[in-house]
Amino acid sequence: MKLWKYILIRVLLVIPTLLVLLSVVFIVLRMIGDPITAMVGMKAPPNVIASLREEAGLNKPLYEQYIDYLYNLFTGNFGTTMAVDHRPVLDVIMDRFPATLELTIAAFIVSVLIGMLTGIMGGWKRGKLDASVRIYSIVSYALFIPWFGLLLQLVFGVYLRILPTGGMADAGLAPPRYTGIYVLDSLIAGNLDMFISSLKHLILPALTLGIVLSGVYTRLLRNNMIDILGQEFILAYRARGISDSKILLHSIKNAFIPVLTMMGLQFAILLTGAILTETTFSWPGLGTMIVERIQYTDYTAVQGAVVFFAIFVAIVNVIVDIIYAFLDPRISY
Amino acid sequence: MSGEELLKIKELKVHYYTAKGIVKAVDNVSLELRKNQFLSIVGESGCGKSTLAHAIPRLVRPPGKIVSGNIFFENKDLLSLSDEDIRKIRGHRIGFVFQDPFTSLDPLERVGDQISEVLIEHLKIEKKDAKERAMELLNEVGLTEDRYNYYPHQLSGGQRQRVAIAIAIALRPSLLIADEPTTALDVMVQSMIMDLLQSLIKKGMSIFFITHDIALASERSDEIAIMYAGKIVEQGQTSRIIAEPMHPYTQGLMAATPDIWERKNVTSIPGNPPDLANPPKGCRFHERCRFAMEICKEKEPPLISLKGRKVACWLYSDENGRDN
Amino acid sequence: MKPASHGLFSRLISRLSKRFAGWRTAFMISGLSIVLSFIFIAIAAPILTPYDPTKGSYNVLLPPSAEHPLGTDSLGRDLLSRILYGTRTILIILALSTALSISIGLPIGLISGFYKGALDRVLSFVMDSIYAFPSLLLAIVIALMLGPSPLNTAISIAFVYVPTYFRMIRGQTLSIKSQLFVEAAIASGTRTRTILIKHIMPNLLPTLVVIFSINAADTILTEAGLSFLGYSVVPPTPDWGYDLYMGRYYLLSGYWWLSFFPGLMVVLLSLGFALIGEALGDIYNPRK
Ligand SMILES: Nc1ncnc2c1ncn2[C@@H]1O[C@H](COP(=O)(O)OP(=O)(O)OP(=O)(O)O)[C@@H](O)[C@H]1O
Ligand SMILES: [Mg+2]
Repeated sequence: MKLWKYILIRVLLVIPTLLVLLSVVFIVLRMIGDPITAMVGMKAPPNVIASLREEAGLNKPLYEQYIDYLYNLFTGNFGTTMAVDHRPVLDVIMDRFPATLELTIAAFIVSVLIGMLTGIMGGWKRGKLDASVRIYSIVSYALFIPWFGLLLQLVFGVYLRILPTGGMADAGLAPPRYTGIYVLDSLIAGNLDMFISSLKHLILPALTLGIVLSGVYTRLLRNNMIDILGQEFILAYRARGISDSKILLHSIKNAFIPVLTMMGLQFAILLTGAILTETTFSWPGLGTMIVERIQYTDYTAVQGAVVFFAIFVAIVNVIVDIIYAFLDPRISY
Repeated sequence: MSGEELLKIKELKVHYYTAKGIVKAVDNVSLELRKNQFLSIVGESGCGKSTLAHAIPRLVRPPGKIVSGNIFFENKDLLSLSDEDIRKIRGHRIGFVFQDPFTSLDPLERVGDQISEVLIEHLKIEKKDAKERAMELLNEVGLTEDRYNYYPHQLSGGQRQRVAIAIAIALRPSLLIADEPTTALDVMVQSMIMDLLQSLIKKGMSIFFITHDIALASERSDEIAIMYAGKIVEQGQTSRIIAEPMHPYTQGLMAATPDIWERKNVTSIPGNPPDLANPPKGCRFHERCRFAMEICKEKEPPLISLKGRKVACWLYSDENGRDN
Repeated sequence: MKPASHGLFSRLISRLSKRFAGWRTAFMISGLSIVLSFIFIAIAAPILTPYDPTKGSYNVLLPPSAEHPLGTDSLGRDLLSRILYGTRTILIILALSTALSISIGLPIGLISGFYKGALDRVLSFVMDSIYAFPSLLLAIVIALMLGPSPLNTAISIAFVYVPTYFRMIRGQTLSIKSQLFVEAAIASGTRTRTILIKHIMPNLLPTLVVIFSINAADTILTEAGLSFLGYSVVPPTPDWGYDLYMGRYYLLSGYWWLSFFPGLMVVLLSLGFALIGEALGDIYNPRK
């Protein structure tokens, strides 16, 4: 089948993409300046810096470092953290990754739901409603995540006192670890209190990130809807006596397909937002991990986390492309 | 010609409200169509043919609006029906085929499903039965049943137009409106599609056919209406009009049609059609007419009956509306 | 009938007014007035406030009052002064980073789109890969390596937006190159440099303006994000994102103004550019 060939090629294309991303990370982390000095600060004693450099493997010639770096990554060796715990970096990342995944998936759902709802309404109804939809898309795009998050904390956490302002669960209600995704783990454990606690902690961060990202979907869907509704096949549907509700469904389907191609890129923005959201809500994910490890001068951990982000982004983009290929019959492989 | 009356359009006006002004795309058009009749509307691009066709099942979209007139179809006044009632007539009693089969089918739905959908919508039948019927329809328009699962982009232009016709005739409408259904296709395919349309007359349908090609219209239709700048200027039995075109515009159209059998000189009509937002006073054709008289610039000619047809031209009537 | 309007000027006006019809006008006017007010604030900051934004006092954590309209922060500094001077910081970084991204993205986009071929494919691939990477993370790492300063922040942000400029410029160049007048110039043997500078560059200007206004909204948010995480300018330089971060610790105790006002400024300035971008995007892309 042609489709399978396309998928295979798309999967193989990940390798050069990854190579570019990993090289960029390498260049940035090793060639712009001295990473250890950058993290420790200028005032550290020279012998401390020297031993840290030694530990991070920064004393070899650059090309050797590059080969080591790629070799280690492709064999799945992310090194050992240099501060606090001295554990394998990948273990530390895997501790934190589920929290980021939980937040981003929840925020993604929120943003797509809100974006689709508003965008479709604006494109279908036009008029005054459309104007407010357009304004919504611009304002939500301009929202600054920490500020919006703090506003929500202030309203729901400080004044109304109905939702927690940080963390993933109340003390004593953290579920046993199966997947690391609290909402899921509490369900697996079959503990309702734990589930409610983790859900309550998820609401504000997911809303913050989700609403800020929804504007892009709103805008895209609105424009696509208007575009599609003006096309002749919609008039043809009307000429066939098809009911408005069915025409709406057809036009949503058509308007949604191009949005899918955007989702891969949108995912990078989602992760950027996740770093800020995690910091705002003390959410123990990869974003806060990077910020912490920079403070500990933990070079290998920072590098590992950045590389992990790169791999994650590359894989998500492939998945989105493959889903797209399945959904759009017109795609030429 | 005998036969029961199926469609009667009376003094129809359709305007587009644009930034440039009001475009009178259909201006006082009256027409009749009987059962089992093939009527062609012929005119240059922009004269309001599509607008007229869209107006019948009330498909005119903003900024367009049906301003006045009546459309009687199967003894119903279409313009006074509720939105829900007109929707039940569309696709069921009136089929519609668009000019461009590339854009008139949903690119994301299998063509067979698009046929089934219209059957399910109007007949409320099971999906399985609809599918069976859709396959029969595919056969009827000359496609094999395996095309059911094809997407529009996997079919050729002619095949797509066959699908569009299958959808339009799925519910055996009494009226089929076809808006330049062959313009986007090559000549061989064009004549096959025309054969298909003509065969529908025998199945009890009437055809409201739009074209800019008077030769095509004369080959296929029982009756011809010539449209110019939103108005009908000449209308009657095809054989009579072709044998003796009376309106100078009709004559011009015929002179502009190449004929491979007779080596005549093709002469195009000088000038361009008028701006419909700002039509000229009097007869709308007078600026391009070689017989133009004083009165043509002042007064609109009435549509009068003469020699087995209707014609609107001052050459054939005097100011009192009497025949010369 | 309306009298036909003559003259280039009146025609221009009528065309503009048609293009700016309705909501677009509203977006454009509100966006421009926001951005212009911020520029005014940046210039007139010393006139607008009597306080030094970096000098502390014992009047810590005062709520908004007549003396301190937005209150004071945890070091007793007047919050209004910090916010007004903070406008300078962010606008300088915006200007610097934009100049940098354009001066890199424009030439390589131009060359890539004009010559095509293998170089173009490699460049496009690299740029697309970077484009898909979370921008803030990249900026954090670069800013970290370079150390905190307005110029370094501008460099790290500029790096993030080079792919955006590259992609748009490349696409535009491709489409301009295929237009008749450029093809004619190429066929008649005009020198490549002349074609690039005389024919293609001027036609890129509208695109640049549109990308700039959309990017500016994003740049503001990225800078604020960087400084919120502590990787932008060194304290006590007034900086909205950093002030927001510092105020966050007092939020739960009810000192809401510390974070609220700096964040509001970020949102307003970003909104101003986003509004202009929306209006311009509509004009150059009149796909309704
Ligand atoms: N949506 C619209 N808005 C404004 N004016 C319109 C619109 N649609 C059509 N018109 C105008 O109405 C007039 C008639 O258009 P119409 O499409 O009915 O012509 P036509 O005879 O079908 O032409 P063609 O042969 O090109 O299809 C034209 O002058 C056209 O400019
Ligand atoms: Mg037409």
